[in-house]
Amino acid sequence: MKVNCDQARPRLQDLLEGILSAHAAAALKSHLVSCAGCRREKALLALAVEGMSLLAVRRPSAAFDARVLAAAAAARRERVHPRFAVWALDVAATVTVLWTAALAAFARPRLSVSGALSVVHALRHPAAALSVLELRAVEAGLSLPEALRAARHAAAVFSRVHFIPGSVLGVLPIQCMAATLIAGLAVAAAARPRHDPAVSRRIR
Amino acid sequence: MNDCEDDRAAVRRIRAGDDSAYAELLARHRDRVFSFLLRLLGSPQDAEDVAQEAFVKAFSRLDSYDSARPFVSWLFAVAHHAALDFLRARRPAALSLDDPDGAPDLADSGPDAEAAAEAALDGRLIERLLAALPPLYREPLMLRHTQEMGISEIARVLSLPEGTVKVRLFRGRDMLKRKLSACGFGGEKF
Repeated sequence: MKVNCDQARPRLQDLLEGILSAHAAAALKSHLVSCAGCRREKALLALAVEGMSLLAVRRPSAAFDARVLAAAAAARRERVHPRFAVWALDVAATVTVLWTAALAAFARPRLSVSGALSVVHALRHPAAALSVLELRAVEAGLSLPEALRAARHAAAVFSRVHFIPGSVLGVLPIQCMAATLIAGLAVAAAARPRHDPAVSRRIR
Repeated sequence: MNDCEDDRAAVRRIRAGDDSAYAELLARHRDRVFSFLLRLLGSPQDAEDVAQEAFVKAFSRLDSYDSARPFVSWLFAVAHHAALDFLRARRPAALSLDDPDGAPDLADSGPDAEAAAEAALDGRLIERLLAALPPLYREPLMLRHTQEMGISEIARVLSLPEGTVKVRLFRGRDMLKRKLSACGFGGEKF
């Protein structure tokens, strides 16, 4: 197959890159033998490609390595903080559970086991706190606004003990708040044992 | 072991808690990343700042590096994006590496510089001619011919389709060829 200059020139780069088929490469080379213009084009392209291998490797300043390693170490230290927060949250949750267990055992009125579990759940999953609150309200036979009022009242007492471990360990206030509110509601519910068996069955 | 395997071994050591492997990775890739950024940004100070940013980002995100692929192309992708961020921060409204008219003022590259070029091709002349190309052509050319990356690897580094990379390489080489011709190469004696 013969090729002319218009067909040959767009393929010169492919020839230099070695990505032409054997057949196409042979046809192009055959054209180059007889065409000085295309030979010149190919030589210039080859020079451009080879020329880039002449580019010197440049080096940053002598202090570069130390700066990068120090900055990378600082970035790693910053990344440790979220892990610390998770650890602190776990510790705070454990402390809160212990507090809740103690209150369940000794407080009057007593906090039920399910009330204590609600506190733990709300602490670990604050986004679910409202649905837990709603569930506890239904269980206590209260409307949600009534439940919130009762919970706020009970939480006022509860918060004195609940916020201490949380604030010391740096737990997010919202999580303490949710846990406290749920615990308060659980206490309020325990103070009003008006369980409707039908409602309890529905909840289960 | 080749460089690729050395890199993977270093990453494994870092993941296992050996911080000394950071210095090893840095020493192996520092100069090539800096050279790439210097030719892209034009200023040694900017190149050093962006290279530092790139290494720190890469080292902090090693969790996202897929060991099945070459570390160096992942590192260059991080460097490319760090350069983009830098240019956007410096000239937010105007500049992009994809803008054919958005070339930073790099080196003296006007017609006078070309006319003054010596007859013999050397690194300094190529440096000047390369700097005169728009960044969108210069960047794939550097990755192909100084870092010896393949088309698919360049496409991954630049987050571009392979076809676009091929077109940019073609046009970039063609522009470089024309500049060489304007410098007197390819004449009778050529």
